[in-house]
This record gives sequence, structure tokens and C-alpha cells, in this order.
Amino acid sequence: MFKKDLKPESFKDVETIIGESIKVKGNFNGTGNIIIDGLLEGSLKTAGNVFIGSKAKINGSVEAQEIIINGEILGNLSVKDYLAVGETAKITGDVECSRISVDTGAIINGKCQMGKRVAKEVEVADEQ
Amino acid sequence: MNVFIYDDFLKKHQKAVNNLEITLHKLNLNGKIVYLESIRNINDLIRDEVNSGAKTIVAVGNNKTVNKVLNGMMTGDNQNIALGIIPIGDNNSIAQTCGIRNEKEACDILLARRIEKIDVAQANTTYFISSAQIKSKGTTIKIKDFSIDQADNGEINIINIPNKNCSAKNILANPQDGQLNLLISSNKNYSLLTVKELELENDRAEKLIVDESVSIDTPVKIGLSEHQINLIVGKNREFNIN
Repeated sequence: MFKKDLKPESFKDVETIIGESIKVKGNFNGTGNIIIDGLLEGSLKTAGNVFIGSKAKINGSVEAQEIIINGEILGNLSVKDYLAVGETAKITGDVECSRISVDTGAIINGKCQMGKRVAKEVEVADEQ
Repeated sequence: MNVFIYDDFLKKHQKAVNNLEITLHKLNLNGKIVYLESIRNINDLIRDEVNSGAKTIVAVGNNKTVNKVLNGMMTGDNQNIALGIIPIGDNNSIAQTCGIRNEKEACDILLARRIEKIDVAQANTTYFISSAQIKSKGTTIKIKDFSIDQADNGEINIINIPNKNCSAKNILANPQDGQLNLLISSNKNYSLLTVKELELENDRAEKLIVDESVSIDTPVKIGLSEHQINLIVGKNREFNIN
């Protein structure tokens, strides 16, 4: 769960960091938390959470448990649980999530579909 | 039985070598001494010594010595043989990371025989145990389904055993997790990924340096060997072991 103060410092156990000067081309699959401050041309999928920095640009879809976005994405966002859209975020694409918060100044051009709260797969499995 | 493989440059450190041999004798850590310059093929030498009953191969020298001995051990079936390190002279970051600060401490550590199974990485046909570096300018990294380019000047590190770059950035590299850490750093920022294998190409003829001692031409394919190495380590080593 993201804290309200949506900064990278509150993002623990980061498996992958894509820095500002980095350009990734292709489809990236991970399992843990990911911070993106650079350029991604392709899709991103992880079982963990994603932080998209204000200087990040993504040309592709992103799928994660929770996402904080402050940068730019030309593609769809598929979020199992919570999506936080910061004031500098620019989303051109469809959004699917369970819960959402949008700061003043954010730009979203696309459909937004929301559903029931989805627990993490592992929590659901535990309950069963 | 121990086999001590002495690097050629030790002739310039005769005092340290003499003190080392006295300490080894006091601790009853005797064994066969072999000089690298006299070895035509280190793979054959290690194989023959293991067949004769050697249980520990000790690299006496620096990072380059460790790398040479490692490559000799990895090309044979030496799963039950341990690699020890006695650092002498400069360029001994591998020993330092393993908690072996000097030749005297190395002898005590050899005696204690604290062994850990450590992942071994491979860059084309060369094995390495610590890390590999290449300048980032002009280097393209290919990992499975994606590639990475970077615009800034800086350095790319492929890390198995953590080094000072890791501690500075609070990166926990684990040499037993079956993965390598890819650290791309510049003056402004850094990127970090966990990979099992990758390919590097450089359009400026920059070479990959492994274990801070051996240079390899690109393109390079880097991955983890299916075999680990038994490494004798000190109590104060710089990496976490599960």
C-alpha cells in the first residue's frame, strides 16, 4: 500500500530502478517493486508496485499491483489495486484500477474503469 | 592437502612471502607450492593435484591470481574442492570483500576453513567471481526481451559479490541468490536491475574488465555458471549469506 506522501523514499524493497538517462526498449517483466525515471518503449508488467517519476516517459502499457505516476505514459494502465496520479502526470490511454486518486493538474485522456477492491493474489490464496 | 599457487609478481614481495611461509608452517598449513610461471596449463595442474588428494587450492597473489585459479578450478569437476585466498600486494579487492585483509589474517582464515558456496559468473569463456565493469558510453545491454541504452558517461557494473559501489548505494548483492545485479551509474543517477544473463556490445571498442584484472573484448555474453565454487571466507566478509 502506498503512503499518502508519494515519494520514492517511501518505496521500500525496490528490485529495479530505471534512471533518468536510461532508455529501455522492449517488454519488461518483473516480480518486485520498480522505479522508473527514464524512458521505456515497451510494456512493463510486475507483481509488485511501480513508481513512475516526473521525468519518466513510457510508450507502452503498464500492469502492476499499485502504481504512482508523476510522468508521462502513452499506453494503458492496468492496476490491480490503487492508482495515484500526481499533478505532473500525463496519461494518454485507458486506465483500469480498483481505487484511484488524482491530483489537480494531472491530465488523463482515455477511459477509466474501476471495479471492486482486488486483494493481492497471495493474500487471496492465504484466505482460501 | 593444500596447494598454494604463487603468482609471478611475488618475487617483488619476498619478505611478505617469507613471513607467510613461516606462519603457514606454524599453523601446520603445509602443502605444495606451485609457481604460475612454471605452469603450462593451470586446468591440468589443478586436475592432477585434485586427483592426488588436494582439498584446497589457495591463490597467493592478487585479484588476477584469484581469477586465474578460479578459471582453472571451474573447468574441471571440482565441486568438493575449496578455493582459498592469500592476498599479497595491491589490487586485492576480492580478498577484502571476503573478509581477508592481509596475509596473516588469511592464514587464520584458512585454518578456520569457513566455507561458503558462491555463485560464479561467466563472461564468454572467462569465469569471474566478483564483478565486471565497462564504460557505459557506447554500450548496449540486451536482456531477454529488452535492451538498454544510456546517454550519460558512466560505468556499468555486473555484480556477483558486492563491492564498494554497492555499499555506497545501499545495494544488497547476494552471491548465493542465482542472480547478478546490474548497476548502471553516472554522475547524475543510477539504474539497478537483477538479471540472470545479459549481452553487452560496445561501439567504441571499450573492453569489459572482470574481477578488476582481466579484460575481455565485446560482444560479451554474461551469465551464471551452473556450478558454484566453495570459497573460504572470513568472518568479517562484506556480503550477506543466507
